This record gives sequence, structure tokens and C-alpha cells, in this order.
Amino acid sequence: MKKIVTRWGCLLIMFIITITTQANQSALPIDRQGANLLPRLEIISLGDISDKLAADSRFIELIKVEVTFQTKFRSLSTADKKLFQTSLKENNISTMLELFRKCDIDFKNYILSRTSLQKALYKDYELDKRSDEEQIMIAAVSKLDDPPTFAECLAFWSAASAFCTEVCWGDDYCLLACWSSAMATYLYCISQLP
Amino acid sequence: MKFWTGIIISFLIMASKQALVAQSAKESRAIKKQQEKADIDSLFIVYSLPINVSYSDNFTRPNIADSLIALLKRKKYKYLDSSAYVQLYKTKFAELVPMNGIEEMREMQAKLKADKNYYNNIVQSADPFAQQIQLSFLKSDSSMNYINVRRINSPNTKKFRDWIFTYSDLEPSNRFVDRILDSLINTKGIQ
Repeated sequence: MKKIVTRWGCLLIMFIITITTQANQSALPIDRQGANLLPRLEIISLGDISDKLAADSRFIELIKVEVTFQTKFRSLSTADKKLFQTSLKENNISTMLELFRKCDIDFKNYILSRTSLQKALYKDYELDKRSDEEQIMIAAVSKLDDPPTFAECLAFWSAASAFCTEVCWGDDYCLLACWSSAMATYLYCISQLP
Repeated sequence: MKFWTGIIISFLIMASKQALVAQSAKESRAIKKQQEKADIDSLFIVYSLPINVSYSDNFTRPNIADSLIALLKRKKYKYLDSSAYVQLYKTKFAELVPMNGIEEMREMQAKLKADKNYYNNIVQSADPFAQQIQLSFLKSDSSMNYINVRRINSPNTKKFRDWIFTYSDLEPSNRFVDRILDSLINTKGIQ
């Protein structure tokens, strides 16, 4: 009887050890499991990668390049934008380049910097090996600061001062607290202007 | 046997007495809390919230304000001077109306755009964090002076209660502030 109990006890202990070891192995960080295990890469949460990506200076630069391009392109008149669409359909490269020049876009420089930054980021974060790279990029972009405009800062100041006067009527302490918060935010807003 | 029965019975009596005492203490705490809430709502002053005294520019007797502050301190009320009160207000206001940073700024604008009374309602319905006593001069009539004492519980500035007092130039300020404080304290229980 004693022998049977001991044998079963040993088996049970071995079973527990096996289970615990396996659990520890699967809890190892992804870099220790081997980067070539592609399906497992997707175990890293989208949030973790997008956080790292959003903090990467190359990613910030890539977005800056893109935003600059779009801002300049949007400055074209409606007629020019229509002309651009037509030339895009007709593959009229010279007209397109002419329009880029018109809105101060150095197209060659834009394409080169955009491609090199994107290539480096895709390589380092192995985004090309994932199926959710688009979601990662979108999540990372959403984590970037969206710089305010002066009109936005001004609109805030106007709204906040009207609000402070309304909500703090008859109480100087309240006015002081409200205005100092609003003023601090307004000054911060201005300091963040691109 | 009789001895053990006696012990058990006396133990049970003691336990039930203790339970009764605890119950009555609980009830009296609940009544006290209810009384305090009623006093706060009626803008009487209470011990649980800090107090600040301020006066308007036309109030030419700052010694009355000083005497009132001294009396409040003597009566063990939590008195906050102006700078401490401003700091407290800033902290509490920032909790109610967060506008720290661009995202919160945008959120505030969006909420005000959707409902211009959004934050107004939040501030007015917030739990009071302090009590204010505002003194202002009303008029002088022969040898009588009229002053207004306004009570506000911060941060709700829309709700206030005014008391008008008269005093002669001959009345010592200590006696006058005794009268003021007597009126600001609810001595009649729940109203």
C-alpha cells in the first residue's frame, strides 16, 4: 500500500513539475523564444508595438514628412486638384510634377525620405511579417501628438474665459482658480504650435 | 450547574447591552451626519469644512473681519487664509473641470459646444469642499451701519445666503462678531 502511494505521489510531483516548466516556457519573452517563430510574433500585443513605434523618432519623422506633403498638396486650388486627378488618370507625369512644384513639394525628396524611413521601420519591427501591420500603423499614428493650431488655442481661451465668468460669478477665488487654469492651458497650447 | 447558568445568563445580558450601545451610537452618528448635511445645505457653518473670510473693497472695517477670523479660530473651526484657500480651490477646480493639456482642452471645448451648461452643472452639483463668509458694507444711516454677510459653499457660487446686520460705531467689534457667528450657526437642529 505504502509503495503504491509513494509511486503515485512521485508521478503526481513529476506531472506538476512538467506542467509548471511548460507554463514558464510559454511565458518567456518573445525574443527568447526565437524571432523566426512567425505566427507567435502576433502574440505581442498590437498596443505594445504601436507604443514603441509611436516613440520611435523615425516614425515621428515619417509622419512629419507625410503631414508636410499633405499640407502643401492641400494648398493647391480646386482647379489644380482636379487637374492633378485628371493627370493621375492619364499618367501625365510632367503635369503632376509641375503641380507638385507649384505647391512647393520636392517630390523626389519626399518619395526618397518616405521610402527609406518606412523600409527601416518595417524591417526593425518586422511589420512585413505580420498580418496586422496596418492596424499597428494606425494605432501608432493615433498615439502621436496632434499639434494644435493658433485658432484652436484662441477659441479655447475665448470659451474658457466666458465659462469662468459664468461659473464663478460672485466668487473671486473661483475666478482666480478658473482663470489661472485656463491661462496655463492657453499658454501651453501656444507653446505647442508647430 | 446553577453557577454556570448564572454565568451564561449574565454574559448574554452583557452582550445584548453592548449591542444596544453600539446601535444607539450608530444611530446618533447617522443623525449627526444628517444634521450636518442639512446645515451645509442651509448654508449654516459646520466644523467639517474649512472656512475663509473675505471682504469687499467698500468694507472699511477690516478689524471686524479680523475679529471674526480670531473668533472662528478660537472656536476651533478649520480656518484657511487666502493663499491656502486659492490653492485648495485650484486643486478642486482642476478635478471638476480638467483642462490640463491639449487633449483635455479639446475635450472641454467639445463638451461646451455640445452643452454650454455642462461644466456649470458639474460645478454647481459638486460636493462642497469649503465655506466662505463674504463681508460687504451696505450703508450708513445716522449712527447705524449696515453690513451684508454672505455665505457660499465652494464651489457652488450660484447658491448663497445673505444676512444683514446693523451695528453702531460704539459697539466693540468682538461683541459684533459674536452676533454674526451666532446667526451663522444653526442652534435649532434640523430645519
